[in-house]
Amino acid sequence: MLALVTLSVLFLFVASVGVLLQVVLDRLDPRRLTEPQKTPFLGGGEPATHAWSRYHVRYYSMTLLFIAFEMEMMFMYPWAVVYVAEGMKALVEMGMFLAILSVGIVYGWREGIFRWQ
Amino acid sequence: MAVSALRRAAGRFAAAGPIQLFAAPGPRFRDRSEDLTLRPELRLTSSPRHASILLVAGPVPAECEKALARVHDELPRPRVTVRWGGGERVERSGPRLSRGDSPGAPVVVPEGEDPVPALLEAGRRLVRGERPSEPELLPDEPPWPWRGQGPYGQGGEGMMGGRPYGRPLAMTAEDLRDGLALDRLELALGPFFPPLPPGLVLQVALQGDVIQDVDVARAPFVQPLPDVFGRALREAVPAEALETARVRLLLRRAARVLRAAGAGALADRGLGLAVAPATDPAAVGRFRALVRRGGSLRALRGSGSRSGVDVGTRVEGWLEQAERALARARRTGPDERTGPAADLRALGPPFDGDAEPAEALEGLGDTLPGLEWGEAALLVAGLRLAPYGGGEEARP
Repeated sequence: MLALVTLSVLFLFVASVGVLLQVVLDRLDPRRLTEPQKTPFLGGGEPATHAWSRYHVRYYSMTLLFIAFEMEMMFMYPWAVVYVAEGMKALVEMGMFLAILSVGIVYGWREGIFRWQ
Repeated sequence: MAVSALRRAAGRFAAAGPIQLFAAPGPRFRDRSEDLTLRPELRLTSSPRHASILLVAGPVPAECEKALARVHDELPRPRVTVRWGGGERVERSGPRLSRGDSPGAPVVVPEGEDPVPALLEAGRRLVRGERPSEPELLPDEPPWPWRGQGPYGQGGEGMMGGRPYGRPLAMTAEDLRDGLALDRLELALGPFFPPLPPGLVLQVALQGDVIQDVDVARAPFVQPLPDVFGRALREAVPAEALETARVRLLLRRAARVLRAAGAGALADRGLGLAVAPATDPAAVGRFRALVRRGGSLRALRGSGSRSGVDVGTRVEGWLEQAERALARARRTGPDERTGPAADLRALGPPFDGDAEPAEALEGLGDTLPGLEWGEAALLVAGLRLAPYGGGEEARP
């Protein structure tokens, strides 16, 4: 029971210190940013759109292609060793694996990965 | 006790260094506020966030007062405004900018006076804590408060449907570079954006760093040419004076581009030559060699291309013209005069090479789209965009 009370007091103390640091000190801080200071500096101009913008990761298609073919190879080398012993079962497993990977390649194809410029 | 002693010591330490200021030049004051970069006691910052003084130079028109208030509020506290050469209108608008005759009212320096002593005094008093910080001019509240509607509090339906903090989310649009669509950011730059001529407001649409669309929302402030060019249009003027003014103009332009390219020390050197009372041809030659050797021109090659001529070639051309003009100035006798010119173009470099300010300004919408932002800034730095006042006539 005493442990529980101690823990609750400790918890309350930590929580109130957290709140104090977050709220009270933030209000008192003379260097606190005001709302006009939070906007980007545009020489007096204002942004018309929000700065939450999506950026096109241009290398993503290359990454997709790399992962698709690299994973294939990673798996195929050990597979080639056990294929003779395992036979048909290994072939079916590899077929499933390649089918899943090829979905990624087909998707990339649709996105124009293979149109090299 | 200890804290205040420490604070005093820190204040003394800070007061001994250069004073950081952000300049907001108005009409007629571009060159004059640019020249302040040469003063070792001052440091002109390219963002108000690093400055403690806002220098409002010249009569900033009332329509730019709101933008000026935004720049003012972006200075961190403690801050002070120094108004230099604002004329009568500033005396009237002064209280409006500073909310009454509070101790934080701006320091006013008359136009003819050197602002540096007042700037130093204001800056030192500010860091020593003898002068209170100026209060905010704009209300300290979000310009578009969060409305908290929708599943994500974005103020609308769906993920992209709302207007968080009042601004619509950027949406993808056709891209000029390679067809991969990016979100299109729309913003207004200026009128006090250092890479642009003062007064110019550009409505820019960016995707990544590539400019998609440019609209001139406000023309730059009038920046008259040196008196001698105006007189050369009306009457015969001493040839030497004309050539010297030409050298200064060309060096100043080259310095401006070098500064936009980030070569601040070289730019200072060029500007120093441009404002020196007597320009030494050997010094200009050395400067040209330094610019060429320093790799700055190589870095500028291929960027900011305009009708096939890149910024590097243009800067080199200006420096060459400056050297030639200096040689001509040396050759002319003291009473040799040039006849009145038909127009500015007839006066030779730098007026004959490129478009007039009004044309260049109109052309921005065609030349800037497709360029990356850095290149566009270089290109704009090298253009004549600010009107001289009174149409073709260069008014003193």
